[in-house]
Amino acid sequence: MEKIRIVLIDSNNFARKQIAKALSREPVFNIVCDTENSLNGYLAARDKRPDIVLIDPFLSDGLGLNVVRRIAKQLPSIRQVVLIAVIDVATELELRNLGVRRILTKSIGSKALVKALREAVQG
Amino acid sequence: MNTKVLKWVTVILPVLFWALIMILRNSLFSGKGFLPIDLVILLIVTVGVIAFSNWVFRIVDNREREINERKEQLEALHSAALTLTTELDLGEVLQKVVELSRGLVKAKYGALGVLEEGTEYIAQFFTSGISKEQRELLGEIPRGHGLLGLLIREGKSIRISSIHDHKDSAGFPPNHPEMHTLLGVPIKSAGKIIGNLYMCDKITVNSSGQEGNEDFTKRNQEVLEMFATQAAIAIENAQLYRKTQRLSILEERERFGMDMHDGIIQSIFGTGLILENAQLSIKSNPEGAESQIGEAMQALNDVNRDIRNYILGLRPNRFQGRDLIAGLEELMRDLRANSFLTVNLHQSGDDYSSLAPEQTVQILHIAQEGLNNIRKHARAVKVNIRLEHKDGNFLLVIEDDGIGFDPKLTVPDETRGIKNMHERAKSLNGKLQIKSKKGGKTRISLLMPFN
Repeated sequence: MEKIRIVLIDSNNFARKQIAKALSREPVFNIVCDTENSLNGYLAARDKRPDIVLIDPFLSDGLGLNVVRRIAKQLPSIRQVVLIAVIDVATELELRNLGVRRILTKSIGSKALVKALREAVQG
Repeated sequence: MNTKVLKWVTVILPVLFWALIMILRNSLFSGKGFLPIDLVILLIVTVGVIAFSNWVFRIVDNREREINERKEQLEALHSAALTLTTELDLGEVLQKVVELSRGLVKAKYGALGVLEEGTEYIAQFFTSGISKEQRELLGEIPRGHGLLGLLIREGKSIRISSIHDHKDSAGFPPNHPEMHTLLGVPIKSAGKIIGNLYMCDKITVNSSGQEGNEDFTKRNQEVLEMFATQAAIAIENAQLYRKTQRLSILEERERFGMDMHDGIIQSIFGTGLILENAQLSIKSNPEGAESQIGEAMQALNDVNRDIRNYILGLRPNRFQGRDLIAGLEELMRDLRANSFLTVNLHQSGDDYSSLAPEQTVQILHIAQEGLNNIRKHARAVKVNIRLEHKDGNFLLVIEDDGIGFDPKLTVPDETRGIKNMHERAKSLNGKLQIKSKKGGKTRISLLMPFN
């Protein structure tokens, strides 16, 4: 089976751990890297060339948006899916301007997330 | 043709002209030659012309001198205003304003009083003309009584030739140098007074090189008022600059930093995923599901604690994921944006990243409480923060040059905050010491074992 390779970038350690666990339940997903750090996340995307970068741009070092921008510019073949606690209009606009098409809020349960990730690789 | 030549010309020309008239009259009409009476008339005319010419030229000279003075003062004003534009740091701007003002009106002493927001009392006092030692001897800054207060209340310039004799004078505190004349000018912006300039003792050096005391002139007042307008602009600029620094940090924090509610949502989200997992595996792996439900309950407890802390006014997870230096710098930025304080951090360059996150959080909370107290009560100008790692100990010192307080007499609100700091220090196995006395500096130090 063609696995969907994912790099997961999220500063909230508790949430990130649970996301990784939930996604690992699905055999189609392969989490090649999960990190809280903006630089590590970018390097993982660059070196491992996943299908999807799943990122919460609220990174603790404040550089989340830079990562999204860099990946969009230099690794355009990688699809970015944003998973965020709260989305305001300004942030949404900014993300969409960078080419991010899928923005999800962190609501209860993983169904929506899984669906979005599957759809991301399709189109 | 300069003035001197002009002077001679205005004397010689009329006299020559008169002489010419005389000669013509004689040669045309009487043919008798010069009579003695003619010479007398000539003399009277010459004296008259000289007197008239001198009078006119004295007026012209005075005018010229006034124009030159004006020109010099405007040049000085222009130069001062230009110098002011080079400064963006609020504290530096305020200090420069005093110094430049002194130069403009040739005052021996100058001061700038910044009012405590919404009150008529002075929160900060910048001075020029007294040495640092003298200033320390004086101790507390003035509150705004007496003549200082007069300017604050009136909101208009005042010029006083004898401070001692003025009815509103409140006298000088001990160790204060004697001051005789006063020129006070408010600094207004958008109709609101943001500060007051006080200039004392105009310096004059007479022809024999002796220093003397003169009254401030109306011209001095006008120049200072013009400068006050420039100063107002420079101060507003510096304040706006500080605000934009603050805004971009807020923006950054709200969008990509740690918003205080962010952590709570993350925790609830994560808990939801745990429960989802338990739900899915409850039949196939009941023990696993059971332990996961337990995990979820634990997580919910943490969420409750965060919400509780938020309600109590503390920021949950505010310092999570930050290292000590970054956290301190953020606190310092907050402080600068909300006050006129100058804040500096000195660290011995050690690596503090080996501090455990729990230690860092507590240290930052202690620092935050300390800095908040300084902002609210100290009426200081400068705050110094020092970090040291020596002999297996970690040392944090926060010092301010404000009005101090008596550690035995504190308001209940302050007491709780200080108790809080002590408790946090204890949780670090460390010791907190607060040294202060009324009218003097305050020093908060935290000593903690650290390898």
